Amino acid sequence: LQGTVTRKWDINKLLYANNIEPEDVIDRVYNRGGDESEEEDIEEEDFFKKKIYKEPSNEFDSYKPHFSDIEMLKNKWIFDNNNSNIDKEDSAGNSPFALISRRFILSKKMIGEDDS
Amino acid sequence: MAKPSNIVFQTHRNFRIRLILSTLSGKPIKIEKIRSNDVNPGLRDYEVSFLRLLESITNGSIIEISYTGTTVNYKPGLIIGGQITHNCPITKPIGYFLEPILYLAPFSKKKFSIVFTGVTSNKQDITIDGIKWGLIPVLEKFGVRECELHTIKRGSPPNGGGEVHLKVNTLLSSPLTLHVTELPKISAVRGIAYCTKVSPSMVNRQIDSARSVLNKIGCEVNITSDAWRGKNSGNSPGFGLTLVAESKKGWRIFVEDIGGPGETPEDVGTRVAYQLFEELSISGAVCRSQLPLAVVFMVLGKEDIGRLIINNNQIDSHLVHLLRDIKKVFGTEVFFLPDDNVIDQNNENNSILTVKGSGFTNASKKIA
Repeated sequence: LQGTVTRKWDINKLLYANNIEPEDVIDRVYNRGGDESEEEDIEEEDFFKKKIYKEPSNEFDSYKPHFSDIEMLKNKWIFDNNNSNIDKEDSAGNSPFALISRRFILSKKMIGEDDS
Repeated sequence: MAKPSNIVFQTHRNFRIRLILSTLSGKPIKIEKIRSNDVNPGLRDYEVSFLRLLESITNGSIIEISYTGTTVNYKPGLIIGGQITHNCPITKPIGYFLEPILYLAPFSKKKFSIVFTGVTSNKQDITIDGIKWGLIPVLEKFGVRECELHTIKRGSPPNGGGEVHLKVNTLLSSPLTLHVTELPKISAVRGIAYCTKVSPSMVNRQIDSARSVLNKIGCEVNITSDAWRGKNSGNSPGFGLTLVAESKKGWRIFVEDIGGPGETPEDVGTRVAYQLFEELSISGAVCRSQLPLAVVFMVLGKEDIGRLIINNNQIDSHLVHLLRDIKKVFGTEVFFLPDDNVIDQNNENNSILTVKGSGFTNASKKIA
């Protein structure tokens, strides 16, 4: 067999697998925080690799969420005067404004529809 | 009869939540290897202070700390509550101590009335405004309707000097089961901008800068100013902002921050406003700060399936650690239903967190 094998992981199967660190669970299921090229070829043996022990820092007893740098946030959430940043559409064709405006109860004028 | 063996945890990760889960379940735990590889090993002063607080609100708890402070044996007693005062060390804010008390207070014998003194906000832990506007509304969803938090004095870091009063008058047998499968719609953004021992104009500058960002979304924005001066303003100057996006059904998603060294009020106002957009874009019915509280109360619920819509971005390593700790203590597993089961088909990035309640009943509550 040639080529790479990409496995679609089910979060429910890995959630309570004590031989896999929680950070690895998230990396495998969502490909977050890791190098994607490394994540594509995941073999069965990876389950049994010995992990290097990392001492948790003080912040691991806190649930205060972390955010990206302010400059990154500003770039992501820049709005022009027409309340749309069409240039920044994701793969599904949704702009950040469209994603967030779904969560608000907005008047028709606010979301750019004509009053007439 | 064989003695029940301790549930063993390692490191200081989730230190408070592990002790809370032990207290709720009545199962003894052992936490070992606490900063065992650190230059300064063992428990920190705030962790010892939290153990003391736990001892004072329970009856019959046995806490044993090893000579080096790297191992703690905890055998929980009954949660009795009552009226106490807790002086928090200035190394951690009041929120660090108050947040876990919210998990225990509804299941005590007597009503809780605790006065906390110390620092009321910092960058690493939840502030008293976050608890008041973000966590207490989550408790209401589980049936805890009489819970109040009063700020008597504000105390900014580093020297604190604040004082808050927590009153929990609701005593539950078991929490209500949650069924939330649709994303709540946000109707308004509210907030509170505060300052201590600095010019009140700092508050207005935070409000103006936050409003300039929030107005772009086009919803109602209402931020309250709260300037503290004189003897009730603590021992240090400081300022901060908490923003809450609220729905008409009482769901509230919040973010907060305080001013750091060299930061202007405009920096804080703008940053918190952008953080609110970011948090809204990756939140389900609850935000990341509220999720642990919601999950633990769902696990404590009746033997019925609870459902809560969450965003897939909320499933992170912190949550996985929490879910594993819950399973270790209560034996309860949480499942995430795939996207195609989500009712709101527009939000394909969401999942439904489902859990069967453990059938927990409050053993401490008096029978009327």
